[in-house]
Amino acid sequence: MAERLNILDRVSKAGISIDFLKLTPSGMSFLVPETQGEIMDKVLEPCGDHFTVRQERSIVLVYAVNIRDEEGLIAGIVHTAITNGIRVDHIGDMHDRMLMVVKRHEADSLAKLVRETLMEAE
Amino acid sequence: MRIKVMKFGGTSVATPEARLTSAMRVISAKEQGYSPVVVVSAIGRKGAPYATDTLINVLREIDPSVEPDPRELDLMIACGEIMSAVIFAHTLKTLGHSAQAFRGGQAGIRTDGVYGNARIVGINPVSLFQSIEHGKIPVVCGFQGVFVQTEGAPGGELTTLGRGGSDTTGAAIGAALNAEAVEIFTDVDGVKTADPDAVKEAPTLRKVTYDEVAEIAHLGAKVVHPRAAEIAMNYGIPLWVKNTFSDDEGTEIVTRENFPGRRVTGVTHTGKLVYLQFDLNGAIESDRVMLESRIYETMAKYGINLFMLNLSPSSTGFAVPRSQYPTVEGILDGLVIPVSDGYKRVYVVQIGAKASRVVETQANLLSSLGEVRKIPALLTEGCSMVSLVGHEYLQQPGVFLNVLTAMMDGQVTVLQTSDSDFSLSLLVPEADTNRAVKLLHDRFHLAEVR
Repeated sequence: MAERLNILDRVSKAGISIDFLKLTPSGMSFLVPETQGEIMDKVLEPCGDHFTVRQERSIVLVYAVNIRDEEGLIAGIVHTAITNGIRVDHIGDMHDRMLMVVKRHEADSLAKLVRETLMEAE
Repeated sequence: MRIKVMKFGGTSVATPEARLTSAMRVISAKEQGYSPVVVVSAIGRKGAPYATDTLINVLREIDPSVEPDPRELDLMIACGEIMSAVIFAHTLKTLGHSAQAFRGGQAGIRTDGVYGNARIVGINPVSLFQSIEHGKIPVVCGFQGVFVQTEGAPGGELTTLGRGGSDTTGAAIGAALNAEAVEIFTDVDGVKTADPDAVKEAPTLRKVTYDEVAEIAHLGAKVVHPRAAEIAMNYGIPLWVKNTFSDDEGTEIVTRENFPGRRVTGVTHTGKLVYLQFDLNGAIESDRVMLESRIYETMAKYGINLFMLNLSPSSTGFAVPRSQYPTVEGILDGLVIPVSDGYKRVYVVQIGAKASRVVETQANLLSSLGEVRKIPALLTEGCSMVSLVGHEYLQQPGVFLNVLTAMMDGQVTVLQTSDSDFSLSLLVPEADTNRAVKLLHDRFHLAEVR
């Protein structure tokens, strides 16, 4: 955790606001506004850790009241995305929505797939 | 006509003394020139003779292996509020004030047809207005309505609104009657910055926005139901949370415009989760997407609710409600995922550090057919979600750093995080829940909030 905090400290001191932080077994991932993507290289390089900045990404948000309590809904949406060949770079869930970060050119296809999945569920 | 809706929770109507105190608040409102409309919950909380849980158990105890019909269950549990409304109306009568009890349907509350978790689709408040015009105090059963499939058909099906439904009834009636205010009476002074069980000194917030209170409620605080806050917000009805048994002014819930500014509102917690982190390092890279797909497909097929998801090139994970974990373990531990690319290779999911007999048996049987690789899932059985709720605060640089530093300093392991516009949630071991709440409460100086 200390190494992760060191990175977050550098990001914070650079005045960059992060969203949707996720911890992974060997690191973490988060989103920053696209305008700050290039700065991130400079901020993270001195940490000496392995990192990747992925650009040209879009967030697909799925809104549903109490989405976490809708049985199997989140799992079904993730399955729909993955099984249709869409690489989900980042994922998150809240009580009223879930988000998936995908390549920008795949966002519309994913949104369409999710709509169809939800209509089937109806 | 100045209408005030006053909703009284289970503890506020639990005993004759409590009902008298609640009734005096209603009479006081009337004397101040309001036309009060009362909404009541069932009498008492879990374990009380006429509380909702008790009534459910009366049916379940007949034969625990036979699930009650949802329609019959709604008829059963609605009795709790009906008794409560009649008793409260009669209490008002004994104090010299004419009152009239209404079932949800009699009060004009129409819902959809989802038994046990119905949504209000409309309210025709004619009978309530008539009651008020005749000088009576309407006392409405919370938590229930009626589903009428065909307009003009006689009767209708009694439905209940799900947990916290009486708050929703109060807010919805407030909207339908264009009330000056809706007051939710409970046994705490209002919305607090944290659960007093975790932080004794947690102060009562004097003012919060509808968004904040809805977020707090969604993330574990039981002070007001989120649907009630959402209805009040949508119809611009001033909402208050007050203590029946104290003269504390309570918490006023207002629009963002009426309470702008950047702040941390409070810390909430909700729990009983089990966290699973699947390690895909042992899988061939080209198989990983297929493996993830099968794991999520299985979760969807069995209707499992997922929390705190994460995906990375070498792992994926999520938390599930503890109540669903036996199902999850049953379907995932030993799940065989064959590879369909012509190679003789299968994967077997293993929950926990040690392979169960199921996993060993599957692996032994399959090993004669080809290569068997295990997908271990690290299991953390007792987890809870601790959330920091704020207004225009969480988007600032350094908030994650501050939160995670507080946890590290306090030696609380953070298993996962998630965040939204109004909240930042941490998945932590259940045993550390109260400590994590206190650490965040202290770190963000919430004891000083007013």
